Amino acid sequence: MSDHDINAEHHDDHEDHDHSATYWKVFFGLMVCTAISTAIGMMISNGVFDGNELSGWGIMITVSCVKAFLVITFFMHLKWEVGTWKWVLTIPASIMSLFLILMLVPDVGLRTHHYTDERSDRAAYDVESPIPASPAVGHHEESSDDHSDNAEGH
Amino acid sequence: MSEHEDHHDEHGHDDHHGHLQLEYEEALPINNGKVCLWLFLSTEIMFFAGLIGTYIVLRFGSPGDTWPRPHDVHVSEILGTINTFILILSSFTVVLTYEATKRNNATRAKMFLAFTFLCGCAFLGIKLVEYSGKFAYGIHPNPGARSLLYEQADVYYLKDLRAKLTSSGAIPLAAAATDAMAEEAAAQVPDVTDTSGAQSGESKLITDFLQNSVQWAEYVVGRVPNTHVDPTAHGLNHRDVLIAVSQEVYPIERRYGNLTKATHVAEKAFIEIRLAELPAEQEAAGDDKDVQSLLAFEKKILEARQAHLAHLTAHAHGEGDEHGHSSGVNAELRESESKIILPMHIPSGNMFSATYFLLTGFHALHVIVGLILFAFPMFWTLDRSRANYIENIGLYWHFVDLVWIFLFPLFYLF
Repeated sequence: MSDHDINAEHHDDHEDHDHSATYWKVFFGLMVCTAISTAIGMMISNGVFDGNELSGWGIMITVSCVKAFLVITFFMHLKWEVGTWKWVLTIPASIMSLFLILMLVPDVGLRTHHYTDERSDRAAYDVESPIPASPAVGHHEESSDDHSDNAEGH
Repeated sequence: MSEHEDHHDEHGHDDHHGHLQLEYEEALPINNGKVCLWLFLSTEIMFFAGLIGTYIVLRFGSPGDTWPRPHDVHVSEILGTINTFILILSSFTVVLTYEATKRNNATRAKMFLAFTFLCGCAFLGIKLVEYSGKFAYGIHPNPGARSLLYEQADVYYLKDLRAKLTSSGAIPLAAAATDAMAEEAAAQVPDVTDTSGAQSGESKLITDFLQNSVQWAEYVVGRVPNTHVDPTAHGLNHRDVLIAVSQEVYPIERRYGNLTKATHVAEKAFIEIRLAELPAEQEAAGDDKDVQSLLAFEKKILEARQAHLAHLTAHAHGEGDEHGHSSGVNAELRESESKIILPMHIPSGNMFSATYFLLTGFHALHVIVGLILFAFPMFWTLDRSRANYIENIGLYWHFVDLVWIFLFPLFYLF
């Protein structure tokens, strides 16, 4: 009996809508999104996007953002939360995480854009001319050749 | 005195009539547990954003865009997709668990919770299969003794290649302790081609590769001056020859296709010219035994490589070499059930493995924590009083799912 009373009380406190139908829709939405991502990924690895992989990557990241939005909004039921607390917590964290990434760009992301001669000597790859444009060999830059010579001479 | 008394009186007065009512205003319209969980999650957002951001920045800032594609490092889209489906499904069932708990439907809640738990276990199981697959190929999180990843195709790579080939047992161990210089190395390699008929397929493969390619690369590194500035110098240089040999071990067609084809053309030209020069040199050497044997040996290497090149070009048109791991000496050794995996030349491979294992590892750690959190309520009656707990672990689990939503395309599809 007392149990029932507690339940009734809680029932009054909570806004107790049944979101099951929404959850099913979100679930299928997430599945479809995953399928789209995988399809594009396989297309890229099979060379469909040859040359402009960037657009494929862009689509995949967009799809991921949509998935993240669905999960946060519905599964984490942020949509039905009342009050400003959710923004107080999530927005600063998101902004800070964005800045975390941006802070890495100049020193880490662009590190190969400012290679010193010393570093390009020891790079795993010919930084200046990654892939020879023509099938003819022997037209490398003189300087880069000297570098590789030095590196192998150890 | 009187003031104090007044004060007391005042209080007594108010209390008595119950006019002073303290109004309790809730700080937040949610319970404390949930506040703490959301606080925790916002720190987690920054934690994973830092890691994922570092990965993105490293990946797209790799020198010469050399970051390995998923197929180059045995990352399977299929397994990744299955794992994504599993996590989404578990996220969905955890929500259903919460709904059932709210509705005081304990058996239904327990059923969905058990299903979620199983999904988490399945996810970890697949992760385990993936990890052991990487380890089997010598892809390790740190470039230590077990790692077979080489960033550069250089003399160290060549040395390790020879060491691995000779330690396979096909060649007497004496040949393993050798210098990269062609003459010395070549002199120590016994001629095993005559007995190849008696060898098993695997050791024949190893011997052939050692004789045709590794020895050739050592010859080029030791004999041919590494300057192709002079347009008449056949266009052979060390780096390209080493890359061409590394491609025979573990082809990454997308990146080196043109380069190795061009190198093969240059090699062919070089061998032809050199073979044409040899008879005159042999004549000039006269009775000098040392020079004669050296020239004879050089001729043998050149001819072996010539034959091998013809074989390579004939095969290049046959099988599709699009996927790095579907061809090459490494793949052939795999097919013959060998334990030997040769060193692989994958530029930025170490950076890949470091970030891959770090990020998926931290994610897997979060999955394990989630499973522990799911294990407790399995022994409870999941009535309405447990709704808060279920909601909170649900939120945590959705966050784990959220991280995977970004890890999946970044590691499996990019």
